[in-house]
Amino acid sequence: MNLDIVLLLAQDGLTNGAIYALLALALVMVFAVTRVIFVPQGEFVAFGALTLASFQSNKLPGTLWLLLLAGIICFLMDWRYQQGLGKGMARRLRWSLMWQVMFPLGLALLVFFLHSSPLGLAKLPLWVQMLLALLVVVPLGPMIYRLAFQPMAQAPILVLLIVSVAVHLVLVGIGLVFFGAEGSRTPPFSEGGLALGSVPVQAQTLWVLGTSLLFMIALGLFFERSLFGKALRATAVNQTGARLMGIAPAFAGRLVFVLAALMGTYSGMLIGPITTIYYDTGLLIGLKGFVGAIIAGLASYPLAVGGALLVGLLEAYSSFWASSFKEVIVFALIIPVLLWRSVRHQDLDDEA
Amino acid sequence: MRHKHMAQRADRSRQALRYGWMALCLLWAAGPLYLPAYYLTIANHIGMVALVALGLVLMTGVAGLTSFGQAAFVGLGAYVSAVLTTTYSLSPWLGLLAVVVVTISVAFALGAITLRLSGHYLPLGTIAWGLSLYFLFGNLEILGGHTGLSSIPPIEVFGYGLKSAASIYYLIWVVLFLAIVLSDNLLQAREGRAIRALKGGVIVAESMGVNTARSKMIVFFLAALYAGISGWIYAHYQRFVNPSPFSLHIGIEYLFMAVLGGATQVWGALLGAGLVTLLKEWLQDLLPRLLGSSGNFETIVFGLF
Repeated sequence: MNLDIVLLLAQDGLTNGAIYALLALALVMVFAVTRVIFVPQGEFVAFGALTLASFQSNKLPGTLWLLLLAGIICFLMDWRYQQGLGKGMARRLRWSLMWQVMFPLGLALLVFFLHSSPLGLAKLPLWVQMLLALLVVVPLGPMIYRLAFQPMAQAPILVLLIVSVAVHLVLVGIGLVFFGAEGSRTPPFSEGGLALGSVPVQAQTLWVLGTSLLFMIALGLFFERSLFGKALRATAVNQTGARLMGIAPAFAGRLVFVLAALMGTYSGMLIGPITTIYYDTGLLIGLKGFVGAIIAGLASYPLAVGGALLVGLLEAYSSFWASSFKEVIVFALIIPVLLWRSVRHQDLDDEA
Repeated sequence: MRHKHMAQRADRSRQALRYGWMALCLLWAAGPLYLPAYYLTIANHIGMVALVALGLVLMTGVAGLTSFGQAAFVGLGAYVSAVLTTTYSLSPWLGLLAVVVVTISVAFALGAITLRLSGHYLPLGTIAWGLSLYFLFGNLEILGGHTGLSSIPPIEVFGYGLKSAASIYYLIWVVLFLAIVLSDNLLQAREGRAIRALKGGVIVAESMGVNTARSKMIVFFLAALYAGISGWIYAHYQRFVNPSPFSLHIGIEYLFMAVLGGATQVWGALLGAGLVTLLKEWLQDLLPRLLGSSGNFETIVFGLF
């Protein structure tokens, strides 16, 4: 093992690690605000990559139907819920109608139009396709929150975890129906690359590292500077207190699911050119982000990034020495970390 | 007069209950006679799966310890016996002995680490070792990798190989019945009360003098053992093992079964296993495009909580 290989593996590990870091951040965020351990995070990775791949081959992605359907169900739930609440809620209901029914409908019409236009979806510039894919997949995040988690927001963590696993199973099943069993790759954001000494660096690697860094900085600014970010932080610290200050937990939940879905979907587009994505690849990628988040105790953002990078590096180096056991090693890593976590927190009575 | 009348009525209802049980036993014993081959296979499957779910009922429902990784113990049981009976051509009964020893030791090692985890860390820990063991099954050379091991000998009783679905039917259901009775008795006993006390949090149980670490370990052992034995039967019934039935997804399914069946009742394991297995079969007929587990779990789980 010479220096070149060390560097190459490090590059591999950091690239994957940066993607896991985005997922880890999303998981920490969702957990802090809603106490949901968001297992389906990985499905957004798969849906993002596969939706983009559908556009690439000028096919209408199944996620579009899912968006339309989920939006209508969400709207009906909102409507039913707000029927008994008087007239002041009409504005909120209009908003719900607009974002959950009109927006998906408009988007669907746009995609149909592009699909049937002589140019076709596949000929669009990559960034337009990516934008469309984001618009299709990201709204699914808050809809999932509305459908699955908002009705039981006060349930114990364990119940939320089980629901989360159920949602994951449902989404994987849906993914299989929509995208089939064969995997896809998406094109890199740009071709070429550069040489760092004797080690070639792919352009996609730079994209991954650069944009995920940007993402993290933007996220930091969002949480430190913006009103919405502060509202989310307040909810994470104390939900009741935040509520007294006029921050609705349901709103915070939806907002954080938008962010999580955005990060998941974008990660999918980042990793799409690096590995082949299947309908069920999401779980493994998500779980690796998860290991990173767990290392941070689902609480600290910088530690989560560090943990995820560690997972990426560990995976890269173990795939060199013991390639068939890399998953075993990565997931076994979580156990001593969990043990250390739970020994350090000697709170006995948090059984759900 | 009234007393006499009531005593008579109680007597009669007890008798009716006894007849009911006898009829049920007969119905069960004659199962292979009237069940078509397809339903017999499903009945066998339900029995094997219910054994695992029973362990989870004890762990999750009664003691409040959630495990997503139980399928890995089933795999452990299946693979240990499969390797011993194919590569080393030992008798399946020696395989069973090895299964008991290995599952208990692995449960001891994993339990020592993960049972100390509190709250939501425990289920996460079980996901971690469940996945690790699954990937281990798929990658160890001696276990045949992802292709698995084939030509596993059937279990022999008095020189008679339990090859047919009908003959293994009795083994499965007798084992399951014994396990249910054993678990029920355990829960009635002193140790069982200690285990039931775990669910309300550790502090109360500890202050009543319960050694909670020990109680958790006992219930974890028992659940692992049931899963291992179920795997042992599975390997010698299918005569072939590969890693796919021991994945995390199947582990989640076992948990759903335990939760569906009511989670606090030992008989609930049977109910949950039956419901999920039948639902899966039905869905696989109905939605051939949706392989394996699909949509409907969501609503069911929702209905529960």
